[in-house]
Amino acid sequence: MLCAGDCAWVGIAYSDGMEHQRSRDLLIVSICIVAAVVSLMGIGNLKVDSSTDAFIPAKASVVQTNNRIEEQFGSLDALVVSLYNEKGIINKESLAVIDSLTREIETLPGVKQASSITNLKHLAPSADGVDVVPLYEGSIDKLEEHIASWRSFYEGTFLSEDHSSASILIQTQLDYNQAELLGSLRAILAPLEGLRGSILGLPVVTEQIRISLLADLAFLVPIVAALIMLVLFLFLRSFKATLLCLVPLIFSSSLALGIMSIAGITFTMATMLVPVLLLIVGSAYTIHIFSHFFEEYEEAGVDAALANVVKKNTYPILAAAATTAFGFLSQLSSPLLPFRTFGLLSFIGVAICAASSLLLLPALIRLVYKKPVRKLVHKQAGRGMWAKAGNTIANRWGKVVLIVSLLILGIALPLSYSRLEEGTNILAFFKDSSALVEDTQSYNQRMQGSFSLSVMLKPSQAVLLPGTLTIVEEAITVLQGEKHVGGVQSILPFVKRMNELLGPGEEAMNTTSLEPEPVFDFFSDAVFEMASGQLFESSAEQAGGMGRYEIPLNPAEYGLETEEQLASLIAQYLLLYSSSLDAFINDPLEPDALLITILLKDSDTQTLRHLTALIPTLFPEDWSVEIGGGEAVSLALTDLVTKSQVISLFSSLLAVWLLVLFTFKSAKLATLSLIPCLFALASVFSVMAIFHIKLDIITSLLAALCIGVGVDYAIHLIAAFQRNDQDVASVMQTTGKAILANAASVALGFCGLLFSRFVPIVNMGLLFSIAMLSAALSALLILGAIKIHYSSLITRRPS
Amino acid sequence: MKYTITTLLLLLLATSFAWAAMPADQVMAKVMEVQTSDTSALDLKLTLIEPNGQMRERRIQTLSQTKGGLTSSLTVFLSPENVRNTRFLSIEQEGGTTEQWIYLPALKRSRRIGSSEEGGSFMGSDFSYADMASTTYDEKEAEHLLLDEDQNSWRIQSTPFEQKTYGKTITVVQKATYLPLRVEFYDLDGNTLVKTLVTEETGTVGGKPITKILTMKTEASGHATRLEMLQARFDAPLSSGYFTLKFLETGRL
Repeated sequence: MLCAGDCAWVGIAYSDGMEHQRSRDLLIVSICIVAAVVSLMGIGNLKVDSSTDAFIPAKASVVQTNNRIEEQFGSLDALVVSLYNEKGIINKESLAVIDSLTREIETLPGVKQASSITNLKHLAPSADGVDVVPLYEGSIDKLEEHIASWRSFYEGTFLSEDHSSASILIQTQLDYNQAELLGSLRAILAPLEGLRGSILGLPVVTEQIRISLLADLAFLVPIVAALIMLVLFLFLRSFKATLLCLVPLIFSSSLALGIMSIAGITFTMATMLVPVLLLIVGSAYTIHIFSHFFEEYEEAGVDAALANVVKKNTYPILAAAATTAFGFLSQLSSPLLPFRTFGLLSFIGVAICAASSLLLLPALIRLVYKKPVRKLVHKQAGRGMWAKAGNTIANRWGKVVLIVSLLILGIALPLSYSRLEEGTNILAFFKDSSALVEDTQSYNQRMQGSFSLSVMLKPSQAVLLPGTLTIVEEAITVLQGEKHVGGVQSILPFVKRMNELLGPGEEAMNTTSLEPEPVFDFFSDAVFEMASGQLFESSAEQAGGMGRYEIPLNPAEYGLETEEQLASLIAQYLLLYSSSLDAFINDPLEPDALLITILLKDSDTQTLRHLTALIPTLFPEDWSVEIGGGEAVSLALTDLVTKSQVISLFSSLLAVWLLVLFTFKSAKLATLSLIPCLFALASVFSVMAIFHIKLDIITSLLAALCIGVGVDYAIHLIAAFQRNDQDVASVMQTTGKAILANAASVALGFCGLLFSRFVPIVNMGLLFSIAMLSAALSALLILGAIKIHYSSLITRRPS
Repeated sequence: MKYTITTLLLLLLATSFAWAAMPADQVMAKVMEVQTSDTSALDLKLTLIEPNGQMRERRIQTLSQTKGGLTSSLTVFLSPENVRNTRFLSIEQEGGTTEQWIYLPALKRSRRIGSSEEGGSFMGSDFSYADMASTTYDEKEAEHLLLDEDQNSWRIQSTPFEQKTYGKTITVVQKATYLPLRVEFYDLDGNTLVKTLVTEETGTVGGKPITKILTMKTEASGHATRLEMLQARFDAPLSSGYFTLKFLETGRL
């Protein structure tokens, strides 16, 4: 009776416990589903910023320089509509299209000015001065005649030398809606017939990234999820288990997106990776839980097995998550805000991943796996093959492996790191086959170039002094001789052209009156004297265009005495141009700053570095020389990325070393655990150096990630070696196999990134896959060899 | 006393009824009429104000005369020093064309400029050449629409028949003087506000109401130009000799 009563009580208690557990599981699952749904609903509110401006700190000197330049010279965001006709563009039909497009573009909101060969004014000499006439008035012959008279100005900028393409240059207002303007431009160009039209310029590239960023995420997540499902299925051999494993991963990724939308975190190319990374990194935790659950669940039943599995795996999963999370968190040391955000968000995401693997997944398993059902465990001889091979190598050639690998590490790591190429050219984010890259390359071949550096000069003397302009001219001559420089735009062609049109001919100055100029003041009540016949000699008889195409240099040739008088002459020339010159001088009459724009056909880091070093040397030391523009931002970003990479590399190594020290309470083991990380880094840097993969805003994140994820293998292996009851062979068969399986699954997950439309993300997928395999292999071979041949190094003294 | 007040009120009411009944194009015609004179001599100071507060001053004197509906004008630049005495002569011809000449004191020579740059900036200011001629349209140049009015002013939208620089303007006209108090200039799309002109001070010269100080601000850049009328004479006798190539080239009548 007592027994029966006891059993009844136990049964009731068990039943109550079961009900309570079920209610708790349902609550956990419900909360998670609600949180995920709410998070996913917030995706629409994500702030997407694709520009390099999102990465560069507002206080960076190049940002300040660009602000100063824009304050003086207007927006640096130049857009170009390029129109191409292989049969030539100088024909009535093409010109009609260009004219219509230019007119339409001029009316678009955000456009300050649109210039093309159909609306430019041409300065032509006339019998008694200068005629300002439309460059194109409907006559092809006249147009060609006008272009021929000032070829250096029109060709390369508005028209290609072979006359196969023309450009509509769009100067934007300072504050304009980029997406709206580009949308309108695309709509205008869509029905284009007979001409190939494309829109170029930095805003187009950033806009394209913005459009593609979310689409890329939407494309990558299913691919990565499918690959992870494949890996999970190969391990678990159960659709149900595979699907259940995905739930915590999707929950963590959704929550990461939700945190971004609620916290107002900008969705950049770096933060975009967080949900994808969580899917990949988190899969390892769910595999751990499920694989152990399957091992125990037949014998112990669902609840008991799960309780045991969770208990046994809490520490390993938390430890693995901690190292990975701290690897991510090391990005907090980066000078770039999106990297810091990425680091913090990934840290939180990994913590959510680990927590959901230990709470949500067991709850789901309990709800789905109610009755113990026989599980078919597929054992395959081949699955342990690689680990066995590793053991054999570590045993037989362990010392050789150690010497060779350490030699390789000692040579490859510093050598490959020193040969890394930097570069954050935003156009390089796109594949060479993309329309944007093809259009830009095609434009750069025919025209002066779509990349630009803007140089704001504040001379120590007056800007319009011939001496000042000559220094600028000499600098431009040097710059034009540099590789990749397609052309340099400045005030000089306008000064020269005006001198040619309005300046005196050879004998003209002999007839000029030397009478002092009367001071005009209508309100002074002074009686204006009558001009004498001798004083007045009409210069109206002198035709325009008699001067020379040059900066007026010799005062005597102009009937003047000083350079200052020549500067006044130049100011009087420029008075006629008025606002047309505000992109070159900050005031048409008394400028104190001038802007030269260097157009580049290519913008590799080496060229930019060379030019930015060269430019200040071309001007006197007491001149203020500030270099800005889109490519200067790109170069500054490259420097920050490199700095960020170095800082995060060392801070993640230190963080991981400290964590392992805390785990094993041994500096020796903490140091040994960094071996797989160093091999992962060496392999990544070597591949980057060999295949010229640039260190950019995405690939620079790799080093810290490699360290964070790679150290797990060392921890697992060293922990297994610590257990006295296991020899190397059995460790290789269990832990070694698991490490290889994990590396393969993470690598396969990262292979999903190869489908991205952004080159840096493709590179990241490839490099991280290589890094994981390298970390796993080096952990097995080198730590295995150390355990076999130098056991004392890896075994702790019993304490 | 009561009679006086009643009369005054009636007068005021009558005046306001007269204003209310006045069509928009008549208001704008009156605005142009108030600003027009047979001859004028103006001494102007332009202060160019950068968005960062930095200022540059320019000073010009401009003489104009209208004969037989054709206007000639002479603009003489007094400062800055490097363009001092640069003179610009503009003579309107029968048939709508305008002859323009510039005198370059550095070369002591004049050149004919075969163009009318209406949309271009005047001396780097926020005023275009067209703005310097007039900031409002008469009834032949634009369609005017009364948007609303209050006790002191009308608000009139003007859409030019020939859209060269602006798509439309909205002018606030002071009822008492017919002077524009504020003009908003919209882009050719008719929606984007390009510039805003604000009258800061008005006065009278020989009984003629005039705008003494006004500021034109370019919305996109934040750049502004303050135009101050230092001296002015209207309808005073003006020698035709000023509007000749001879005066342009010699500075002497």
